[in-house]
Amino acid sequence: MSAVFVLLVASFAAQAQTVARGPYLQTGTPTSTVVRWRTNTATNSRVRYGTSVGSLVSFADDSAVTTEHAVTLSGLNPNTTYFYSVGTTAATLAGGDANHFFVTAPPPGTPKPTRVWILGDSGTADDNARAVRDAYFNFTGARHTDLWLMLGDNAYNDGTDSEYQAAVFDMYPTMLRKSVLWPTLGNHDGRSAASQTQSGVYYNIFTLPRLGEAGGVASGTEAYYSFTYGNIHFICLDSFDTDRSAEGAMMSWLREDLANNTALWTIAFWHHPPYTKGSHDSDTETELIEMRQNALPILEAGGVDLVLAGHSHSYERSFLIDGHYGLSSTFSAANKKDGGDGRETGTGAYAKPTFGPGPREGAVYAVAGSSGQISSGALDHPAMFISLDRLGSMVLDVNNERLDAKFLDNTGVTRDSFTVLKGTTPTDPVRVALSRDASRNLVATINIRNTLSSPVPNVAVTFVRASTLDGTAFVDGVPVPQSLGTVNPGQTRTVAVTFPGTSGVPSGFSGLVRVDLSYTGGTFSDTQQVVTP
Amino acid sequence: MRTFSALRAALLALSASVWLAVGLPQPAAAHGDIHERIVKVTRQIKREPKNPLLYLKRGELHRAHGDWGRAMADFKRAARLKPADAEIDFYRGRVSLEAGRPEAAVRLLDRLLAKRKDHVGALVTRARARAQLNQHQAAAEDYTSVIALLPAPAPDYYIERARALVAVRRIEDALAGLDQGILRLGPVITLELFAIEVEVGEKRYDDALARLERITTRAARREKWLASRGEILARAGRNAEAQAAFAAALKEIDALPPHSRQTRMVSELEASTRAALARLTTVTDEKKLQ
Repeated sequence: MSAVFVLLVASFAAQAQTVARGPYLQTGTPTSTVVRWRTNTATNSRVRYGTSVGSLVSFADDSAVTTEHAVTLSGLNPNTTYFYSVGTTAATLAGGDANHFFVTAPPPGTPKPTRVWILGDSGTADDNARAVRDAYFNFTGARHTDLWLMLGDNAYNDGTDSEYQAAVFDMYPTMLRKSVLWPTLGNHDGRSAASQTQSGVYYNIFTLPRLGEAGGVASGTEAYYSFTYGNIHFICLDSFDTDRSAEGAMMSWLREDLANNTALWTIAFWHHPPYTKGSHDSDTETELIEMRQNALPILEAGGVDLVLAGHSHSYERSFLIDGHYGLSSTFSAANKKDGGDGRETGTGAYAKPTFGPGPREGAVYAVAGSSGQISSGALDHPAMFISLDRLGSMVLDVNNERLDAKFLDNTGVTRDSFTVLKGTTPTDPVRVALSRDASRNLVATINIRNTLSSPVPNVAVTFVRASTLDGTAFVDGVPVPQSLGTVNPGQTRTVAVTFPGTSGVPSGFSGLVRVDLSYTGGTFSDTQQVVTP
Repeated sequence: MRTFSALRAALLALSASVWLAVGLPQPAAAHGDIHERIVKVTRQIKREPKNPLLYLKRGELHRAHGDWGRAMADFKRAARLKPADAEIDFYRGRVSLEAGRPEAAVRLLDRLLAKRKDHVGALVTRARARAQLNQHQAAAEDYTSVIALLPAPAPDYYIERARALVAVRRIEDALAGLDQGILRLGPVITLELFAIEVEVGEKRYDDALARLERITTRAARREKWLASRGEILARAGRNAEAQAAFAAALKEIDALPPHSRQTRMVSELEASTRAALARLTTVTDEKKLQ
């Protein structure tokens, strides 16, 4: 009888093991990922994984009996989809299906079309956050999100464990289990965590690189870190609870990290925006002022392209600017590298000449702190091209030398967009970027910009050909639309060209795209080298 | 992977100010600028004039705003309402330091630490106050206590301790402390660079170069470190070796892809390296003429 009782107890205990949180993915690199989850009772840990959903042939264990599981999968192949399950050495508790997978990062320096989702101050755990989430899910559809960022205030009001459960784990379970989340600490998160001791809820929940594990230079702390994804280097700073002084450890680390950076793109993010006139004022608040005065000179000298922050519950997006570290009243036209809208359909994409980190060529600063609530404000900072009191999130699509950014509101409407091009000058009239359609055929997006001072009438695309570098193999495409009419000075027109039968061309293949134009009074031809996505 | 028992221990040692902040009554989704938040808390104080937590909360807002006088006044009121709460001395000590009164800070923090010797926040603040008072030995001891209490100390504490030890000429201890941090936290660049700075300051060039070599071996980009090697060798008067290091740095720069080489950072490094090499060549030529 006692043996039966023991068996019944054991059976009950086994049945009682459930996943209470996650699984969720952390610190993804080309060859490793950390899988984390929480169970209701303490168990050992096993992650089973493999490259096909029905065949999870590999596993990684941690024998420690715990409710907070964190297992590192290493020795993975870059840019590879892995399916996985989590559980114990005796039982699978979650996963093992098509919904539990991750894609490892590409090798450093490898261009790969990359989608990044950005949430700021999303921690309201309410219908606002759900609407912003669902708008993005509808937008991205089946297109995988390569990684996502949280810009702080991830869980209101105090960043407690239960608040994180509601605002993060219960709000984004499907995203958490398939895309690596990279967070930063906000002031509300900081009410239950301390960066100087790396303790508290935020630091308990997240596993972030301290030793340059994901690219970048070792910081020794999870409060600030960097990682590289393909040809994008991301830098996360702690604007709330770490010394922000110019001679402090964080800024010293930042200098060295940037000096070590070879990536094409550099994107920095933290919580307190250097420029804002939303629900916070960057002219009067200490954290914002110090980040502007101390971090920006280093970042801009290091060639930063985009700086993201939250804290103000609004969306504010700057021109392409450089060299402004004072009050808003001192911002002038001299600080604008490009005072246009950054839109190819408008005054043109922001163009940065260097194909890599180009010091002092300008950066775009975005406040994206309206993913959970909006709180108004003057919304009139002179550095900003646009300021919106709207719920929403940001989406970045980076494709080799091209970065397209959007602000997607909570109804799915794109309220702002801009494009940054690297390795080009504003005088380059034709730019080509490749993507793939639903059938995996190559699609060229050709941007044609009038770099002259007078209108060019009757512009038409007469010929488009994609070929190998030596021209021995080629396929012609049909541009849509062919006729562009008159293109005014500084204006950019966009043409999409599909190359049929190219679904078999592998990713990372170098080739050429030739574009011939005609217009009243002449013709123009340009051939550019491209890399297939 | 950290163990969570260690984290739980860390939570217990966590600066009490965090717990206190968590315990303070918070309006839902408190926001707006500091002035508005001060106004809100003031209204709460009018409703609950004997609630010490509200004075602490407003005092912290005043402190964040740089209004030391009002912050101290609120902390004093909180202390009068709850005289047995030793934690309030931490708030008063911290604002005293920020207001430029390190002696007052040390007195208050001494009092708190006599009752709660493991208060990390008080130890850090007292260390910084002591450093300002040139009590560097005592400051270093406080940092050592902080580092011992924390499972994952911030790199800053190792650097601040090293600075204090250098100030009292305990060079070996300073370097040992930095190495302790590197061992514990990993090859953190800020600790390594400060150690090199200390070695060079003491003219221990071979030791500095050995540290630099470890950084160079790991670095994705070597040109900057090779140029630094040249600078250290030049300072050491080892001109031939310095020339070789500068030449190696220039060779690395030459090998960079055009888009990297043409950046201003690299251009400036190239220019300064060429200038340094030219100076050394001039010195060598002058010696030959003598």
